[in-house]
Amino acid sequence: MAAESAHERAGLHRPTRRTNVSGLTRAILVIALVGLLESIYLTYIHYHGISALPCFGAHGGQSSCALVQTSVYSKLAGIPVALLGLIGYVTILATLFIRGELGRAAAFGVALTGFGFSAYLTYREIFTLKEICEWCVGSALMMTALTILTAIRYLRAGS
Amino acid sequence: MASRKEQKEQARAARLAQEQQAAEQAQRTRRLQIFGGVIALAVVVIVAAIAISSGGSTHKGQSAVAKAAVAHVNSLLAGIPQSGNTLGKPNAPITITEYGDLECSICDELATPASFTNPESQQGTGWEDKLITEYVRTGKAKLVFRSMETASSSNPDANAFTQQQVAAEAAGLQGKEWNFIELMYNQQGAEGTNYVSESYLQGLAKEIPGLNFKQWMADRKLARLKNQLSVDNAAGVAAGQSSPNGAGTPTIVIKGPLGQSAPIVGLPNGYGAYVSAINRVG
Repeated sequence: MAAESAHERAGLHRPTRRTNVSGLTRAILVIALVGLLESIYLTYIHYHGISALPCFGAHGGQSSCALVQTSVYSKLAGIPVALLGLIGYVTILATLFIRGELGRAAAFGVALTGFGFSAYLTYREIFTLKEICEWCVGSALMMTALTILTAIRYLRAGS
Repeated sequence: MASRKEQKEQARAARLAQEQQAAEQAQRTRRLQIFGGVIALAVVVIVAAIAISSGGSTHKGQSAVAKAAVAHVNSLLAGIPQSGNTLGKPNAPITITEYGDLECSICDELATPASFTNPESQQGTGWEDKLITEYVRTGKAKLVFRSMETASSSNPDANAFTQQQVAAEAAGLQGKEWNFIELMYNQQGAEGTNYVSESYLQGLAKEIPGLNFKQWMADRKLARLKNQLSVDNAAGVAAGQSSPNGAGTPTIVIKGPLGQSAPIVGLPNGYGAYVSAINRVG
């Protein structure tokens, strides 16, 4: 009993918890960086009007990725969704440098928003455009993973 | 038996533990409340984003040119029957066939009203509107659209002609081809530029009242619509060859009970040329 108290007093449990949290943070960092690189590429493609995106589907001689990314759903109030994704990933990365509950809550909030909007865009791809853009699905999957990881990170931090 | 001092210490420890438990509970509750608040805020942002996105290019986000085009086309075509590429009553005695390229600026001049000036600074003649009002609406003639590639060949995007003409044909499967044609003519970009993007075509489709967008998207993949373009093109070239101007767009061929007019390629000197041709064959 006395030994256990001394163990706790010495803070020997803390390194275990810290490892878990930083492991999550590292995973979030890696996924957000991959997402950022992809969104930089898609934003570049968008502004340079490059339609030859490597993609599996084809639509009347047009790549299905190009079709999705030039569709009416490719912009939100005039802003390309690829650029919005880029802003989202940058924001998630920035929140990793904010200490405490605020940073963790903000990371989760941004990831959840990205996840929700990505889910809507995926719905539009499948049911309205009837075309799949692998790049967009990739980003949607990354946002899903980020939402789960940032939620765990937030809830676990104070437990 | 514990001494009085020990009892006091135990009671104090119990109180501290209770306080700590209460503090932890309060912190957990606060964390969950913040978590719920973040979810609620994210949902509000997502719903707002979806509402803006779903609006697409409907009236709220439309430019003044688009609004004017939509109002003009809706009023021009209101109540006139359409089937496939035909505008007007199927049994109308006179058939006016237009061979056109939706990027062609001269077709645009023929189709648009005088209030419209295209990017080439050419003012609309309003002649096609007049034909629709005076002959198609009254049941004397029907107007048929067939595709013929001219101006689109200077578009840097080699697929543009196929994409735009098939998009119009796909609207025709829902009895809306002439809405698409007129909307594109009334919102044409400059010849030789690649303005005919997917977003542009979808934007036009979304301006058509009652068009099933999902169905339209699916129909654009039909091979027969693409195949029809080469059939139309060959017919247009053949029709225009007998003209002194040679083949070109727009080519107007007027057919009636008394025969067929000579093709009118390009713009004639005046609207009267169409009226004379109609009178000759009808």
